[in-house]
Amino acid sequence: MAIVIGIPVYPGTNCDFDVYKAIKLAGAIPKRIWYKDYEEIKKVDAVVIPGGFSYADYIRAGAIAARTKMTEIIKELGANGMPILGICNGFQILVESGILPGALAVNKNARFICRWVHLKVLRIDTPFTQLYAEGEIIKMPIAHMEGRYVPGEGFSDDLIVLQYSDRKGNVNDESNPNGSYKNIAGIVNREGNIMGLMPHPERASERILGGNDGLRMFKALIDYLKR
Amino acid sequence: MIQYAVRNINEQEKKIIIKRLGREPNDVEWAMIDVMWSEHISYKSSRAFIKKYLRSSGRHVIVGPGQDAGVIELAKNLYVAFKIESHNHPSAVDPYGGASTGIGGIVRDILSMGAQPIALLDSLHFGDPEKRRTWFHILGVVKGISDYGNRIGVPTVGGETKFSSCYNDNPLVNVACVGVVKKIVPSVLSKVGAVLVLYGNRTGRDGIHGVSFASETLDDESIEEDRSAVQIGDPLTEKLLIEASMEMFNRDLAYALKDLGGGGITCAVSEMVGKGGIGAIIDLDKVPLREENMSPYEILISESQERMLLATDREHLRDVLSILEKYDLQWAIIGKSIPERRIIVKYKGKEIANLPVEILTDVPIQRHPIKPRKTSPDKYTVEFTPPPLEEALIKVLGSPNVSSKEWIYEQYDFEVQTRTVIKPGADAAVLKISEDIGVALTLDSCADYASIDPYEGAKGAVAEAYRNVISVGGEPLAIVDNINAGDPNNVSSYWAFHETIRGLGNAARALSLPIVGGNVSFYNESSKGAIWPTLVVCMLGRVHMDNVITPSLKSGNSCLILVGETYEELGGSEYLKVLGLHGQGKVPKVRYKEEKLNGKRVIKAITKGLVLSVHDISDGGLIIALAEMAIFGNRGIEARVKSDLRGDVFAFSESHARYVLEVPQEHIEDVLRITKGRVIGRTTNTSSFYFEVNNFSVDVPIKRLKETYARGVSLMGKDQFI
Repeated sequence: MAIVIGIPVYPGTNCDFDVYKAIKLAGAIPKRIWYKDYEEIKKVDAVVIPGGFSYADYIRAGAIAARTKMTEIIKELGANGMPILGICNGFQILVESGILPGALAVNKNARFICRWVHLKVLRIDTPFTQLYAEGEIIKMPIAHMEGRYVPGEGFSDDLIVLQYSDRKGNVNDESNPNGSYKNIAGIVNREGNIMGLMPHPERASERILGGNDGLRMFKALIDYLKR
Repeated sequence: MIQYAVRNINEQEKKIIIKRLGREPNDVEWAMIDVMWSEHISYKSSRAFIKKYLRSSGRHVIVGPGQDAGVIELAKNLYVAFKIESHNHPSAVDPYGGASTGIGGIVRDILSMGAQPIALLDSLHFGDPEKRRTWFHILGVVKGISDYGNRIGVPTVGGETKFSSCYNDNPLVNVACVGVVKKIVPSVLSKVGAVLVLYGNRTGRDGIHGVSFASETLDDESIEEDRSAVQIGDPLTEKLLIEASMEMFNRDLAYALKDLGGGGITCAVSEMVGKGGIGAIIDLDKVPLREENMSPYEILISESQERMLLATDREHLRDVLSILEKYDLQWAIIGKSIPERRIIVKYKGKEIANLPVEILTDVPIQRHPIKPRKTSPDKYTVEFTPPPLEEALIKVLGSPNVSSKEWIYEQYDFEVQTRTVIKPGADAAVLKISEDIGVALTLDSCADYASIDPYEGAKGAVAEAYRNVISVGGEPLAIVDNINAGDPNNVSSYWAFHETIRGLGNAARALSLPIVGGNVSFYNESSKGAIWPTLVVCMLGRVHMDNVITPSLKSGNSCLILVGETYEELGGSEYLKVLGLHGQGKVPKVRYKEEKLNGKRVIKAITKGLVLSVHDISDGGLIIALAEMAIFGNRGIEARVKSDLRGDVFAFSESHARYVLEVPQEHIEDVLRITKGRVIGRTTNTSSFYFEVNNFSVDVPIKRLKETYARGVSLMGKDQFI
């Protein structure tokens, strides 16, 4: 059975094609879905909300997209157990819509940061991280202005999936690019089917582009869906 | 009726216009003619020299100058469009708005060729970093590029940032964009009866007189007054504009396409139909407006951003409009093409302008007197007592021009679109275009040399770009250029401009590189004087993915080979600058034969897989090239050289046509044979940088070099200005 992964595209989303390429490379059928095409999103096996600047980040990053009908439907699909992955702006949309707990505030240095970082994998029991080893150090780029995770209602430490670290796995202030609480780079919901992360796995899908650790996240999702 | 105040036309030109038209133009017509006759649009002071010196033909050239961007054939059925533009004047008065709309404009130029914009590069020149005003420029410009570029999903992959007090009042913001084209959409329309659709943003009062303002010098009053001449950017609309346009290209719906930049509707319409030998009729009542009570002339020359003009036929119109509706873009059918070579404008049912197209598009060349500057140094040798090598190395490495610009490029998304193989900070950027082919891109200027010798400085910028493309494993293919100069009415500034364009043309010809597009920015001059003549060269090369190579050392057990001859050429160098001796000594001479030959040799060694890393030698000379390779690769170096030159001269001379190669032990012989280079040292697994030439030597920890290099502009203690 062919696996179809939906990629919602809001006005200002800009990583949709990159996620498209990565999903294809990982072996599933990607489908870009314009945010007005509500019916289309209901037909997919999983949803990856890509990064970018939905509505140019007006008001707050992800705030307007979070209040669209498209996001409402994604929330329902997630509540019914469909795997949902939010990357960067996608993560921001997930927290703005209350699908994931907490908030993403402006980086500690108050600037946009584009940089390759190391991440420590804490949980491998999610559909997105099952192909990593527990404690594995992986490499992906970040590119955001608002990526400093701030915990909120419903958050507890056991939801942490990825932490910023150095290449040796040290999780500390030096290896924290944006000032996130406990170096948080990605979290999952309590049910374990909805994950958000600030780093871009799709940008780490080819060795020649700097690394392919991110590709395994999409492969893991496809493996999960096939089972 | 209020008389329109003409800004760009002198008395003599007025007479020509009245004579050619056979009558006095009315106010609206004057406004239209005025923008089209501005320096910015007409190139009236530069066109004669462009024609005389710049060659645009070449084997890979598909589209040369004259359209919205040049197009190069990279491989069979694989085309790239690229172009560069300046946004200097707007960035001087409103750094944030000026820089961001500069990005928007160049992206639309690429888009209007039917290309998907895939990368941005910017060349920034700022004033003295010790001055508060300079930081007003830096912070605004960088944030403007970051906010706009990041939001539209086009990566900023490279460029350069240079400092000199000559840019205190006139910072330079030159932005280049590259796109991939499947099918070229012309910017010229020759079909009569086509429908003209204006889409994107509404038209407002922003950017009125933008081109006129770019065609005058800035004085202190203008800084306040001219804010209204700076356009307002809206990256979300630009992003949607890109998406919608791409969808139209994929469905082949456009006959012709032009972006609205300088000169607004007037320029877009008259250039589109003018070059096609036809005319157009425009109905201003149809134009969606942002503000009430705009006068017709304001609508005609407004430079509101994020607007495109599309020509299509009735049959495709429905599809075009449904795409625009999908992306929530404003659109209006504002007119159609007509067989008569005239631009006719209607407003409230009346004809308010009726001009032959030629009067808008055929602007006579303006000639200015030239007076050479006499005070150039006549010899290479500069007399001074050299400081200890370590002190000099640290000073040069930490200088604003040489040190790391990570603080700047980290604020740009350089990864989006997942093509960036070589990221900012190396000699050139490399983007993957197909499975095995990519483009190498670099932006280079040599204003330090040009300040002493504009001709040799212009040649130097071409040579440096050439080496940068080669240093990443690329084959240089073509150039687009941006010349930034002073007031053409100033005899010495105009002489410097002439020397610059002559140098550019000669160097490009000698290195067999066509110039497929360019931009001239005059009037970068204030009451305190003109900027240094600053040529920015954007060079595009073709790279096979197997050949991609970077300057960071890869092993602790390889050999370092210097390719190219080192001469006593300290004039214009970073070394003399940090010693306070800038202006003395002749600048490095570009020797075409050596440049070409050494380039070929290095490429040959790379292609054969004999080399681990490559770095070209430019700012700061050999010792800085070595230091950077050590810093990037986090490995030690031990180099010992003998030279007929004084040790510090050898270390810091900026002679062209040179490269440093890191070569594994087993390939030393082969590489020496191919490159005619010489072994100057080896890499080590220690953490120290040792360099010795004659009786000069330096031994510093890599950590210290790293800290010095990284300090860059970020920690120069100026963060409090944010």
